[in-house]
Amino acid sequence: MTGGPRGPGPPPVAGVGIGWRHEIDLTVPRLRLPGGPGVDFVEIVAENVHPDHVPATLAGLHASGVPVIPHGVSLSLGGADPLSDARLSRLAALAQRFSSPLVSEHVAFCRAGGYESGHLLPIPRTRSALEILVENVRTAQAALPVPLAVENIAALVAWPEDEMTEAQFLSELVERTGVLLLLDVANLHTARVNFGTDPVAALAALPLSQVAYVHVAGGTLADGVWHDTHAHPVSPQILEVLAAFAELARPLGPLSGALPGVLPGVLPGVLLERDDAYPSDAALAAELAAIRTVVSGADRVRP
Amino acid sequence: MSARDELAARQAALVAALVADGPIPPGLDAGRVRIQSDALLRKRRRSVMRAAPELAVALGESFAAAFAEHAASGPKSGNSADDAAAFARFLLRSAHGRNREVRRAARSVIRKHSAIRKHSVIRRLPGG
Repeated sequence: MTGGPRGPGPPPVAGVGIGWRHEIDLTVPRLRLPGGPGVDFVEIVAENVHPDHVPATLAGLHASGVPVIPHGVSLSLGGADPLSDARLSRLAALAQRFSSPLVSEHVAFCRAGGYESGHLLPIPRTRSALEILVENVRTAQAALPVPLAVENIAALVAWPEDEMTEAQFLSELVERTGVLLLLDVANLHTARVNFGTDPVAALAALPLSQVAYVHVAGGTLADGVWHDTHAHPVSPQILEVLAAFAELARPLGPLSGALPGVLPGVLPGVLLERDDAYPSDAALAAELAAIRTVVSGADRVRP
Repeated sequence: MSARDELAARQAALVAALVADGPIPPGLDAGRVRIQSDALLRKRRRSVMRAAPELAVALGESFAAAFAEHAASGPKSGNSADDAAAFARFLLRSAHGRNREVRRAARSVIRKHSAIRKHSVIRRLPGG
């Protein structure tokens, strides 16, 4: 599927979500109970869920109407090697199993020269690397039954040959391929700490109408750099970047009455990623509630 | 050299520096490469700890040091369960294998790995 711009339609997911993980499979439904913060959608790590052996807790969530977004972490879309058919098939099969509105991956590479890095690494932001990324994204779009969204990563290293800012690079990728964006606001914070990039300037330069959904996660400062651990609480600076996104993106929502059932200014969904050192249900509930408050704009001082 | 070959060479040089003790590619900040390399090693170690917690229990406080020795002998190949089995084989060959608990845990990990490798879904620490 070669989607055009997302345009004035509703975002594919809205509200607040959480990354579904085996370790918190009983927590997620509890967060949906009355009095809880609510979970409007979930994301699964594509490598960790087999479409033919879906855990009962996840199948139950899906059956109760919760949208499930497959999220790949090892496709290596920005790599020089051809994309793996097996990895693309896994994403496609999961999208079919869950009737997912979209699937997501990263603007990154994770293998080269016969070595696996085991984690997402930045690609050089050069014209020639962009050409290869565009080809790879088109290949992935053609192989997937639903739209693809790609995410900005948290980098610790930068290439000396970078010719564009991350926002310029992503904007051109979107323009050339129609790919959707999965905007990670924690990773914009990471870029601020690690490379001095202003997150608000980055937001202003990105095609925000193309954002399908948003990631929020906690990290920690060590060795003078920000580590996007997904194992720490979400810090206030990251919620501030989320608030800046909400402020800029709200006016981009669909016009009132243009689409039945869609409220004016509906923002894309915002999803909390927690992958390790899982806190109590109460702590996760508080983080989701804080995200919902920021997204709803309730924390803004109204004139 | 095609654009793909050029990108492949550049990316291969970075990954080799990060996981296989290769030289720092020209122009990259050596301090940052080291920080990234340490972060990848920690993630690899956490993944093995999840795949084979009995090794962490048997090794106790020497787990991190023993894993660093294993990692120095070569980059991860395969998934985390494969890496855990490779670590277990390394432990049996090393001085750590003199400890009875470590030996028992390592043998159990290797046995389970050969029994289940065809059918199991190996969880990957996501990140990103």
